Amino acid sequence: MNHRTLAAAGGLAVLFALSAPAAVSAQSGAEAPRTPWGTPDLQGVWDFRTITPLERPEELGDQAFLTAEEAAEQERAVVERNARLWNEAARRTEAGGNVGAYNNFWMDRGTRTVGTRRTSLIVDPPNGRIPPLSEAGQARADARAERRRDHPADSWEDRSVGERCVLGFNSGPPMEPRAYNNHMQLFQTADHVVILNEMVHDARIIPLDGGSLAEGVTQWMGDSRGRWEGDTLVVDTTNFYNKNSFTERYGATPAMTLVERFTRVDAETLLYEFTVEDPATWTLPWTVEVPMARSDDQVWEYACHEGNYGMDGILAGHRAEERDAAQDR
Amino acid sequence: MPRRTGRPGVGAAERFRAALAAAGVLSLAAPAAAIQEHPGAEPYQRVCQLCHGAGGRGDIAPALVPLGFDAEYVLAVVREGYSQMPPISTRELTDDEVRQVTGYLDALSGPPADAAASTASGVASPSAFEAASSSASGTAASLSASGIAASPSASGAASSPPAAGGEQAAAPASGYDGPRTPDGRPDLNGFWQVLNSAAWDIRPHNARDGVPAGLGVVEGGAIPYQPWAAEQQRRNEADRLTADPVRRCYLPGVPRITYMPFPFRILQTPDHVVVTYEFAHAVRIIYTDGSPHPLPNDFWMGDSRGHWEGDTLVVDTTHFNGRTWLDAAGNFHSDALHVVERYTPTTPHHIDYEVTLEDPDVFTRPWTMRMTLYRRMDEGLQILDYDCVDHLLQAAVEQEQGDR
Repeated sequence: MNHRTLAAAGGLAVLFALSAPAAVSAQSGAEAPRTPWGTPDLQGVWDFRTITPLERPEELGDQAFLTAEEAAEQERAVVERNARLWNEAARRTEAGGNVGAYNNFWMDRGTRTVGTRRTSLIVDPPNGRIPPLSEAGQARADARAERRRDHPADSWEDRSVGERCVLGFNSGPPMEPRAYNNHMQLFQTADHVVILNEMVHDARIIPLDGGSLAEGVTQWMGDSRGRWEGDTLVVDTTNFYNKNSFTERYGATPAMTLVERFTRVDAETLLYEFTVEDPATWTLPWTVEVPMARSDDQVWEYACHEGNYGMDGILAGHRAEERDAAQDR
Repeated sequence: MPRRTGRPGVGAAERFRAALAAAGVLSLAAPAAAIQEHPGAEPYQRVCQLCHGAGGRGDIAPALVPLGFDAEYVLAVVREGYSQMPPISTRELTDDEVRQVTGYLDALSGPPADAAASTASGVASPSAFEAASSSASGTAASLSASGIAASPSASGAASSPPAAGGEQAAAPASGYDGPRTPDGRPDLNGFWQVLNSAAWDIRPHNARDGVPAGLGVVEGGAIPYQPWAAEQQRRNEADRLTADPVRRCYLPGVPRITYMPFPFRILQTPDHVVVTYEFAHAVRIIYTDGSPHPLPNDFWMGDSRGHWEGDTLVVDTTHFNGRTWLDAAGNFHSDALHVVERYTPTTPHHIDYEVTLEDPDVFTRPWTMRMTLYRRMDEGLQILDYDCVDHLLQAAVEQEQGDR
């Protein structure tokens, strides 16, 4: 799918792959197809890249939509920045400082704002921001911040599930556009839907005939059950294990309720909406809208753990810092 | 170049290849002399070899053998680059030369899936193989001739090259009369698992601590390793507790993932067969939409393209990275591995699973494993987490604490 994964597998291939154009078809407005058994056909590879941020930037106040000019300006700025960084001379990284993560060419949020020109992916609350934390949520957030400060990398468990290659950083559930590999492929039969995220070959097989997972059995991606509400596929997910990339990032508990909605609004667009609610974390539920664009590309294997030299480096680096600190004493 | 048919060029090379395949000598198929006379060999060596390596085996650019693309697609990529390679101008390679190069790479690539599968179905008896291989040192023409004519023990399918593919198309009747999908295929949807000990050792083996004994799943019992590879396998086996890639939670590759002691789930659509495995949440998308293998690249799980032959799902998998094993006993392959799996349901609850492995860098000939896949019937079953990476680290810590 993404030239990045090819590069990860193919070494030098990356040098030739950088200018690969996004193979996302333009919106056509053509009518959404249906399956032989009569439901909307949601199948295909879906691209959820966008430069629109999850939360509305504070300086935009109550401006819910960009003007066409503002959107064009943001898109132009991203293209220019990418070109500038691409042409910039290489710099040698100094040992001892923050060596950073990736070069810019690894990053791929695309170059487009969402078609609605909303200023945030969050559509509710109306201010486009994650709602305030509840008291308990705030207490846990403070504890996490303290832990991160004092124990950034005692063990791999202090690092994110994404860095550990347990789960993709954008696959959730719920899914959200993040640094790269923002693609999922959806497969459908009359009684099941499969959502396969490019990151990290995480697949959810979602029964459409009800039922639930045994209480006490929990899963990294939870247990998802789907149903049709008119032409919208609605997916409820429960039985979360202690965390996933989403609950970890936003500090939610495994008791979080998640409702995802998939609506094929036209041949080229799958509207993805989700609502999360967790009174132990937030004072209000919140809802996100991400239009996904149909892609003719293929999702490739993303083998994460198999090449996870980063985790070794992170832990070794912190051990080295500890040794240095002990010597200084 | 064999001229028996009187038709020069790629067609003849293809028939030659099919003949070799039918005689079961595919892995020797490096009929180097014959292929080097191919009109595409010279332009390949002049322009392509610098990056793609001798014989299309890859170097700084990906391997092009097996090829898996048609000439017009290759031509488009050569001219445009499509961010995959530097575009090549017509001054460097004419269109005809590109087509000849494609033919050359095709000739090097071995037979299409159907022909390879035909070797899998037991056509090649050991004597046919020996007869053909003993003549491998002869000229291409005599190899071609003896590979066919001097193999009276080979079954009728091998007697005429074009017939080999033709007979394959008429798939053997499976006798399957179970449920079918709306498009008429056997309905393989559901949970499957092997009941054998191939995960530990695909060969016949005695029990050892924690490992059940087994009669083996390799047809003929022995794996036809090249001498160096037999030596490597012994080293692998001796070092298996640290050297086995699965013990580091790397994706197990194909076919090993099939006979891991974990269930997997098949979800079937007309265009795709999606297989989700419990072990390390591995996934394979088997494209059954007629699409070819993409540009060569390396994947832990390979690239799988399938088609139906009667009631048999035939899956052709290539583009491996060569870092996976075949079991926990050090049996292995290289990145040249080409796997053809045949899933033939015999009842609604059983699949006859036959898999043929071809790897000219490791084995002396293609060889086959066979086992039964059993449908898991437990109510409410689903694929659960086995997040190998997480368990691996926990186990390492516990080990360390135990050692203190």
